[in-house]
Amino acid sequence: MQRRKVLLVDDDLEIANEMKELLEFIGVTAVVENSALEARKRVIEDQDIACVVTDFRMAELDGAKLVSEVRQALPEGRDVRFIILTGMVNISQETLPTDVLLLAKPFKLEEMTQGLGSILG
Amino acid sequence: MMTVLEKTIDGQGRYREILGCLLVSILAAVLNMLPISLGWGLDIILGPFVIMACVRVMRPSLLVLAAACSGAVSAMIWHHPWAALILTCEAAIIVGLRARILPIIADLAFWVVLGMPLVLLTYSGIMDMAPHTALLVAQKQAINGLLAVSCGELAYCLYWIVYKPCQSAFPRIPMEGVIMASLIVTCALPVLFFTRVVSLQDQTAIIDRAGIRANAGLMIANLKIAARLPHCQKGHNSGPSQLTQDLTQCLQNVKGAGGNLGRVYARPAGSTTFLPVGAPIEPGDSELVTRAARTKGGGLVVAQAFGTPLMTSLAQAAVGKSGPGPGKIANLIILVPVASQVMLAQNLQSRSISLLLFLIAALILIVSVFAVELKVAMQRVVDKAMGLSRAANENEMVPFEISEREVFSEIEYFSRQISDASLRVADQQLALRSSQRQLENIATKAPVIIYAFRYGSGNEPAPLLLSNKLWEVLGYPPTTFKGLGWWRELLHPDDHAAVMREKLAPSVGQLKAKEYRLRRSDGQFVWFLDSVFAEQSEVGALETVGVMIDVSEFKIVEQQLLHADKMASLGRMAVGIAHEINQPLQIISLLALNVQKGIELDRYSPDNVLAKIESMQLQVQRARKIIDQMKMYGGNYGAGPERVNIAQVVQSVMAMVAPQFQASAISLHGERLSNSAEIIANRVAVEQILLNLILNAHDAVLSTLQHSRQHGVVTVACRREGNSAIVTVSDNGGGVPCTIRDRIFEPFFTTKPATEGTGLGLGIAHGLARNIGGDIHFENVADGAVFTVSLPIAT
Repeated sequence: MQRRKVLLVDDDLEIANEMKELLEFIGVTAVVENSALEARKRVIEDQDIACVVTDFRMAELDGAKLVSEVRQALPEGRDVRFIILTGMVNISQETLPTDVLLLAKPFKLEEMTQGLGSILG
Repeated sequence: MMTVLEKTIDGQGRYREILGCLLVSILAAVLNMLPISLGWGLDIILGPFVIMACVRVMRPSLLVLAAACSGAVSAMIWHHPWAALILTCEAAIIVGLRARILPIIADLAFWVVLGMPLVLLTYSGIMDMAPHTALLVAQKQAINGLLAVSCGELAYCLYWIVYKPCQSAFPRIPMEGVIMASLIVTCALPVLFFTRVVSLQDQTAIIDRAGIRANAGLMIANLKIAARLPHCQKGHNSGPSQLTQDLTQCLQNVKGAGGNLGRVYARPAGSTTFLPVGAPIEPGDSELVTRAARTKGGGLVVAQAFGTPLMTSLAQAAVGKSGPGPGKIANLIILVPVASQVMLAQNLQSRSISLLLFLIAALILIVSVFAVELKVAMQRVVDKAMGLSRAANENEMVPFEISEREVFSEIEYFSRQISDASLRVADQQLALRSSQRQLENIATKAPVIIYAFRYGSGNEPAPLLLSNKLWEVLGYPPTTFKGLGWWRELLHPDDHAAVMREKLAPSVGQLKAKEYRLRRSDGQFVWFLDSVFAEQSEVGALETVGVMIDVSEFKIVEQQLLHADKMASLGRMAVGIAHEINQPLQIISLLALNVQKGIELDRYSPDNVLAKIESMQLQVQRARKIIDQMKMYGGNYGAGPERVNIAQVVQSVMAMVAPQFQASAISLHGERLSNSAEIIANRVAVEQILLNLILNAHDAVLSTLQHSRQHGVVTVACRREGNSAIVTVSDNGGGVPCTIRDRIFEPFFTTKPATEGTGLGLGIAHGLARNIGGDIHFENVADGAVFTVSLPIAT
């Protein structure tokens, strides 16, 4: 399990970096991308990435689109789970891809550890 | 009576006028009941004399009322309303024309055109009077009326000569009026007197002669009936009904009872009915018999129609006489017909009356045609009598005579004009006073403050009118302030500059409105809307008339509405604001968690902790900036109008809405925002205008592009056009549908669901732009709408 990594995607590099530090404190390996397009490339290439935690609103590609595009591009048998973070108050579950965990900013630590725990085991 | 009427037009008028009217009515009514007989039922009535004496001084409506009242009372004795009606018409026409036509001439015209035809119509047509008698009555009425007017004029002239009232209410009487009146009275009195004497003599003579014949007829009838009676009563002595039957038979057989002197009727003892002796000769006899029976000793009896005696049906006139009959006959009555004699006598009356009427008409015509000549002649007579002709004798006579004549006619013409004018003035004064009273009521009782100023040569305008309502509103006693300095003293300091910038005296024909605050006695300020109109007065000075309305409550509501709209705008930006604040909150939260974990796991040095806290502070500042921007906008209009750089306002508004646009993934572009145009306005108001327009564009784009792949774009651009700063807000939201394009600036008009929009935005933006002196309009372009705000650039 240790090999499995979490990819953190956010336009705001400060959030991504702080989150990486926090995840490492709780024993989760995390890598950071602050571009959605870069992130899309990386998740397909890096076989160790089991989970993507992405911001919803980003300049190049929003979180929902990133999820669906990555899912389409993934080869058979590769399972990547998604957590979307958002500071917006008007996003409902229906507008999101299925089987995605939505966390409102600012999230609580327990919400994040629970979500990651169920994914990474 | 005249002293009662004096001063009726001015002073405490109305009460005295009504009292005067009452007195005139009573006096006229009493005089109407004391007629002067001209014989054969023809009477001169005196009531109109009183009425006509007041033609020049009484208010027209009251004079007609007096005529109607006096006539109505008298109509009860005359037993018909027609005479009263015609006399009222006469008074109405004369008083109605008094300012234009001499009363005497008006009266003559009335009788010829209206009065005499009316008398003929009513008396002959409705009351069945014989036509020639009706004509006589009509002529008499005309003479009665003309005489009344003449005597009235003379009485008024006499009053004028004695008291010389120098008021417009008592106009001078023109000289030809006096001449006409004098001539008419001089002619009419002897003729009427003669007619009266002769007619009454005739009347007595005819009755006397007929009475003698009646006595003879009675004697003959008595003898004839007595001779016939024994044949009828043979062997029958049973019961009164049998007796009446017998008598009837018997009396029918008495041929020519009264000889050829008259018709005889007999009443049996114990009965009340008169039976004709011989066949009844005339159809109206039964009424004549009843009258004759009531007349003690007999006399002239005439059938009555509508209770009018004598004149109504002279064709049936007879002299009746009654006396005791023979045997069982209690009473005998004989009717001696005198219709033909009466007709003869009436012919004489008729001739003198028509001659008199003709004479009067001729006199009036002559006097009015030769009015000037007559007056010159009279003046000369007067001059000679006073010995003033001596001086004229020494000079040359002929040229003087011509100029004297001309001068006299000129003077007379002018004095006539003046006297006519004074009558007209009196009428107009009444109308003027009534409208003045109405205006005063409006000025004092209306819930607005009305004022009028005249701008003379001095610095300060002179107040012509200022309603006390102002002091009521402001709470000062009306005498607190002298002059006009109070206005500047009470004006709110913030409004000083704005109000004073406008010229104090507006130019002619211009309506100006401004709003400002004045200090109340308790220190609070009252908002006034002051609309003023300037015009050139009749005397050439500039005058202003204005209305001030207390609009404080409207102002409060207006401010509340503006505030509500601002709050609504903030609400519309909530999504963007929430996101913008959640972002720093997320970072702060992460920093805090890291500090916590770092210390727990003993991996953090104090420097690490300090660095994290530093970052937290920065994030707090970031959040605070957003809140500050919204707070500034959400506040009330604190400051007054100031110089505002329009491009700067556009930039700050764009910053405010940027998060919302980001949240909705709509692009917001600014163009040419380096413009330096400045306007004078309240900064928050300009922000509100732009915010409403930009948010409106945002919503339009959001609703139309929600389900399309097209990218929403809103562009805000500044430019300068002449003296206006122009800001355009364009979008690609599809434009405003034609069906609602006339309504989008209406307050509360919205296409959004009730939970999302108040419908105030565009309306308020429009109103605010108008307040600053600008305007907003919009047009549809290829894929959206362009809203253009133009605001006047400060000089």
